[in-house]
Amino acid sequence: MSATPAGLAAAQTKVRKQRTWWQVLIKQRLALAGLIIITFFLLMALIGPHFAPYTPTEMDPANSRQAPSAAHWFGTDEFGRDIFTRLLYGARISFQVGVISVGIAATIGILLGMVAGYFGGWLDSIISLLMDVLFAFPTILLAIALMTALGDGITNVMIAIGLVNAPAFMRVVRGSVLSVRNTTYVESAVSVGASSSTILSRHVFPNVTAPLIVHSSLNFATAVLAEASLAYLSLGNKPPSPSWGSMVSTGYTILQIAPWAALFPGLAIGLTVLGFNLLGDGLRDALDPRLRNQG
Amino acid sequence: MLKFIIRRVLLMIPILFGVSLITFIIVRFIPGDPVMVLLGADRRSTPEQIENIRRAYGLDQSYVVQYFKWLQHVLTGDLGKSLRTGRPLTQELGLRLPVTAQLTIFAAILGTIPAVIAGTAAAIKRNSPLDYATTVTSLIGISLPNFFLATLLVLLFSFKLKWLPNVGWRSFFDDPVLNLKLMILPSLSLALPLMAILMRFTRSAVLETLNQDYVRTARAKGLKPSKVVRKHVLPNAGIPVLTVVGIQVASLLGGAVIVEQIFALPGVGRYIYEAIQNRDYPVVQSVTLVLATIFVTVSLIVDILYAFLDPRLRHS
Repeated sequence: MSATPAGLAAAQTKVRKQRTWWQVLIKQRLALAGLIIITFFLLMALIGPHFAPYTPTEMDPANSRQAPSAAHWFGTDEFGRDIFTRLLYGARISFQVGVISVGIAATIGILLGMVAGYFGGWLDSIISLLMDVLFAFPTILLAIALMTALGDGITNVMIAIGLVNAPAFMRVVRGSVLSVRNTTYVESAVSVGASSSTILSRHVFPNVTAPLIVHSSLNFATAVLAEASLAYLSLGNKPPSPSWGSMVSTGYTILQIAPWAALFPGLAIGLTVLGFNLLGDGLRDALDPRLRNQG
Repeated sequence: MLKFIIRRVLLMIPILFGVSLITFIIVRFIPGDPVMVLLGADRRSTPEQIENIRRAYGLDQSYVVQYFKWLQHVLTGDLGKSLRTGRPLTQELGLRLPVTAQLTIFAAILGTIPAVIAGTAAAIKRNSPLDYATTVTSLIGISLPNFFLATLLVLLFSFKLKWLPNVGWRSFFDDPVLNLKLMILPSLSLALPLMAILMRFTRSAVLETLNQDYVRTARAKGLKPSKVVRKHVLPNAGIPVLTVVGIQVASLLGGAVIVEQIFALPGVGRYIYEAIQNRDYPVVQSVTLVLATIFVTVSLIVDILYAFLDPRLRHS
């Protein structure tokens, strides 16, 4: 019917909203700090390996357990491998796993969450039950079991973490859908005979994006932690892979003699996760008007 | 209220049924034959011997039969036997659950008390240096993986200061002092992330309560600020905090895998982890189901408590 005025109005609110939330975001120093940290590690992942002074798996027994120096900025590990170089390559693993697993979790979560929230009834009951079942598992154990069943490899790490994190996305999406399902504009779309897929994509989904963006940022942090934890247990990215978790784990065995081998990769994990948590928090405050004036 | 409790209790049945089914399926997907793992290096066994073992453990039957037999046994309180040690799981859990329970309780105490105090203080003195310090501490706490926290704690307290041992376990009844010394670092590794989560949550719960009309009324009628906090803010902010404590602590029970591994504690998390590695089907299936049951029960109790403590829900 009146697709143009509605679209125009939507576009106008979008522009206005975007400017405000960016302004709020920039105002928030913590969120900005998060963005800077993420950019730094992203650059490290993208171009770092091209500038790496050594190769990540090249062993040099003569130079093992070297303290940080000009030749080896962050020292060397048990096998004489350069820790700085391995950190650069490890950033790539963290970001790959983060992006793909958040993508998998978000896709499953959006599809099931929208269907459950919008259609309700028995579909909602079944999807919600599945969600409750997955929440009842200790997360790390579910990821370990999935990894063991799927076998090694970075692809399987992405799948396992994506599956484990999907229920949380489902809950976020379902909740947002429920909050708009009974609004007058959805009702009017139904009454003019719009199809369910049109209503879901044009009227419901735009309302889900804000919480979805926030949750994706926070979930990226969770995924980086999960990858590191699995690698720490030698699941997925096994040694000699330069996964940060795996580096902390092998570094732990020589902690007393060469603490830098575990400390630097551990700090890298902590900083990356911190960056995404800061950004997620900032986005939440910026996108959720109710929280905008709170601390 | 009663209807709500009955509905929540009944919902546990399909949830646990789902957990059992998913665990069973994942375990069967794990590549590797449990019998071959069981026999280990001794590959000289004849095919008949292997067949006998397989029959003895019911592994020769179809998956459907295996699943329902297991379910039937679990429902009658028989969790089965470990393929590896042949010991009944109830006995094994009797040894390991107390270790994990002690770890969890210590972590809960060490994490919750400072979190609630600091979170409340931060909310009351909003935008003060204390508030920023709390925010920064909790952000760092939720960002560091627990294995890295463990690494830092061991480096500081075991290697540099030489105050505490970094590995091992002793029963409290054999040597209480050593038991406590050995439990401090693992408990702290779990307590700090918990503290971080709870601090954030307490802060925002108290902030939200402070904005309520009844708090303004209490202030307007001239109540002392300390009394406003004690009588009006804390009881109301406490309810949601309590639920988060419950859920977080329940998830620690199964989530301590890595910490138990690092400090070589014979707890439940490490037990399942090793069982997954060894394809010890009964252990993985039954212990996961036990942990999920504990988790679901705790969240049920928390939900009921929530409804009970909140008069608005109690009467609806």
